[in-house]
Amino acid sequence: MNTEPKETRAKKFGMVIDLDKCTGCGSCMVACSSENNVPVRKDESDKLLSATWIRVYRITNGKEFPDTEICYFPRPCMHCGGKNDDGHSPCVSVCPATATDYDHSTGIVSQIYTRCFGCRYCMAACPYHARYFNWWDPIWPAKIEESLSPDVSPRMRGVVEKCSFCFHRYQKAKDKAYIEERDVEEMEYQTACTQACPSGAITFGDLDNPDHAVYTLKQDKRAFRLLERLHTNPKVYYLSARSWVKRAGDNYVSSEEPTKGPGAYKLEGHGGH
Amino acid sequence: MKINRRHFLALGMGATAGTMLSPLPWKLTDDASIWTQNWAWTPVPEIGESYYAGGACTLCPGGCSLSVRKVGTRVVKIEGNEESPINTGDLCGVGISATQLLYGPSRIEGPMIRAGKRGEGKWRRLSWEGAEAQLAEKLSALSGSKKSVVALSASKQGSVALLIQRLLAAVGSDRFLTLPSVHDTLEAAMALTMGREPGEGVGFDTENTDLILSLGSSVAEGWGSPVRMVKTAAAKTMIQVEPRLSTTASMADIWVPAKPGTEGVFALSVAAAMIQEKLYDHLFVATATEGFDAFSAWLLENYTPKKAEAVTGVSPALVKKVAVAFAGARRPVAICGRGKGDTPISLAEALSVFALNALKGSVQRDGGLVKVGAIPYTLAMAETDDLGAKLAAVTEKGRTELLMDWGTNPFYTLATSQEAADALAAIPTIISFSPYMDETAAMADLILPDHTHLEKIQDVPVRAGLERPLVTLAQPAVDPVMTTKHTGEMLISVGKELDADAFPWDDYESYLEESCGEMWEALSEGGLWQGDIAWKRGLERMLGTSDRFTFVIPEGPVFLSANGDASRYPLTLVPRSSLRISSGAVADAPFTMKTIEDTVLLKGVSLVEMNPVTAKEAGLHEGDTATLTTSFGMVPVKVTLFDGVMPGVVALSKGLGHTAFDEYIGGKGSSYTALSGAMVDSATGFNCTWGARASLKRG
Repeated sequence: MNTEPKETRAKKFGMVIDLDKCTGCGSCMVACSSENNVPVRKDESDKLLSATWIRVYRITNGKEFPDTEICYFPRPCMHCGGKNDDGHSPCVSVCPATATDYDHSTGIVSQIYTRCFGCRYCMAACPYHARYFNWWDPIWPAKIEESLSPDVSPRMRGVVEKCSFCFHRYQKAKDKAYIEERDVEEMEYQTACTQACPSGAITFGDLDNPDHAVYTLKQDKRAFRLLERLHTNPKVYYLSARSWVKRAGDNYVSSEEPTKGPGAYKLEGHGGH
Repeated sequence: MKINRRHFLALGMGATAGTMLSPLPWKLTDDASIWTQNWAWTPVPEIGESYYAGGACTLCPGGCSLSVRKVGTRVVKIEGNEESPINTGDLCGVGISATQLLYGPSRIEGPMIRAGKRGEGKWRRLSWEGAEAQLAEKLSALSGSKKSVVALSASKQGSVALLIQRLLAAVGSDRFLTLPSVHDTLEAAMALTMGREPGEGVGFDTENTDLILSLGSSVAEGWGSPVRMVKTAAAKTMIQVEPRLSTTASMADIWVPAKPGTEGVFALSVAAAMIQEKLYDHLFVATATEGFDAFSAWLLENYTPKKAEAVTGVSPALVKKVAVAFAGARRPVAICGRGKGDTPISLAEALSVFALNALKGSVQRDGGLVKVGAIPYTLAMAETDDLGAKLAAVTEKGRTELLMDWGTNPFYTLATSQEAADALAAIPTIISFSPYMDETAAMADLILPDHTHLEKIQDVPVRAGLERPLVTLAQPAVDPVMTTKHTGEMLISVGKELDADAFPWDDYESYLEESCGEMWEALSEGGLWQGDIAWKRGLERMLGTSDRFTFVIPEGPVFLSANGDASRYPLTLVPRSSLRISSGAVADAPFTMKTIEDTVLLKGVSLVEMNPVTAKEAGLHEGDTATLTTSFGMVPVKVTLFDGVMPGVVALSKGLGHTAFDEYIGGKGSSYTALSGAMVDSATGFNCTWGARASLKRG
């Protein structure tokens, strides 16, 4: 048990996404893009070039009509802690420029655009396809530049970007709490996707704080994480009562498939990030 | 000393080690980013005071209230208003992305008159005085057939709708039209079964229901008030009837894959099963209804689960299972309106759904189908008679001389075939009040652009099947970005020219306050007014109500069959709805385009979903390029295979294929609407199309 007082104790921010509640409405993706000045392109339907810090995938159970089922999988950055939360996330380990780093006081994996020189090692290392590269300078057509938020730096060409768990919101909440000489409350720091989610599928908070909803939810028997066998130790948990969905949390090539049967699920789409 | 290869290697390794120990590599990586990332043109958003302004969304009928985040004078983010009983702090992607519509390249800069050929995109800017004079002149210049003037309004009621109606009256026309929706049919059905006063609507008290039997409604994908219904979908027991595994169907406890368009017949078969198995609410039927005996005899003669199976393809066992679940729930409700409810259903189908609810006593009670009181505007509006026929006339050649559009974009929403599109394009004078360069504005002769919902004050009456009347207030969160003018203001000014007595107000704001009457206090203070529920609760209800429900035997067909030759068009095309695609008058903003899956739209081409079995028969594979043809039009598509769609059925997403707007949101995919054609309900005259016969050929 961590006996350090609450105010100074390291946080471990994380997310629990209830896949049985998610309707795939895409509100999280738009809220995130608007909150974080995510660049837009003329053709957003080219998924190799379209950036979405949180992307909602659709999977099916692969069964024939009418036994088919679908499930939506929102995928933000997993903010991996690495084994034993030592900060050796796949991306942090390979970044030669220290542009991405693990913050031990929050558990958040940062991305500093002006330090990144675009080698994209982190993109290759990330098993979740959570990182996006700016091949060109983002263009904000007409007066859309007016809608950019000053809380998040707009990116330039040649840098990688990804979900920050809306870290700027934490900074704001922390500043306010510091002035008022108290700790940041659970609801004071919530990510934009959590705030926008109409079905209440996303819950966000300090995974180590027993007063936070995520603390209880991550221990739910429905909880699992993506690709746990890689020991990336993600801070995003998923909930589902459906066994085929839980099964989809770890993917195997067909020869390694433990059930020796055909794939238990099917990921839809045409690749890209 | 002889220098050999070994020395070279040692030197090289030493140099490498030395460099690595020096700060040089780290300095170089740092410099690399300094020299390659710091461009003068990378925007640095201006900082300023950060605060929230109120508002209301008008991009769909849902009635969400907004909290608009501002930095200085700029709008940077739109969030849901936590005080709203509808969206309680949440918001859909379309609503959030409106910042990009506000500042985006589709905005019209100011009043304009056509300078080139129609649709060519050449315009001449006008002053507002000049533009208003043009409109007044065009209206007064109409000779003879005054009825040839049509106005399409985004809203059936409300302050601006009334001004449009008065402007029409000033030139002698009664063709005040709105886009039809399932509510138009529901209101007609309510008039027959429960009685209806003008302005009254039909609602579903889904908050208090414990089971929703949805007859093709996309509860999780935009039906009714989308944000609220998404919450409902995640929380309630649901039975979903539709031919394709939508998100709603996947979340439902029971999915009934009935053949396309047969949801109404399925509802009747469930009703018949409830009567056969004596599962209906005897007390309610005996004390509060009329016409049950004749109705049940008719039902048992024509729609027993066995007979209905021939139409719906649903086994009697599954019908019985649904009947038992529906009858066994405490407060179930059956809802209808396919997809987002933005297409009417036949009157017969609506009557079937009313009857099904009444059999369970789910009428005028908590959790049931309920009557919604009229909104107490002080200035009354007349409801348009024969809306169906009048709408149909808009897409018939030679019936219209002048068309005005306020937010309905008929060139997209009513162009259900090439013929309809041609008829619209043949209207001699087209006037658009749209703030965006939509398909209708692009074809207009005169544009008098309105403010967007973030720039103006305006009442927004909500017609989304809520259980009580509700009005929200759009508020100016930002000064107008373009040289636009409030349509209400413009109409008062033009109206004065034509009939000064009908437009006695000095300005729109004083008129708005007068028009809202008793609602104004709540609207101006909290941005929202809601009325009382119009039914009695608990014991009070049992102790007697004089309002009785009448079972009405539908006259027209419950199931409208798709036109077209089955040998030429072997498949059935149905629409696919998604909350990620705004399928109304306005296209998705770039942020929302981002969210569209690559099984819906890929590199600008729409994908058509089909069952692998159907694809195999047609010799098609995943990713194939094909042409989708109905008797109303043809479009290029790509094929995507999905087990969840019924064999023989193909599904195309609704809301894509905008041809106007800008390069970021226009020209993406194909429009389902343009292929959907017409299926006219003889009882109401509405186009109730749920799909069309289609063929899919490679290439």
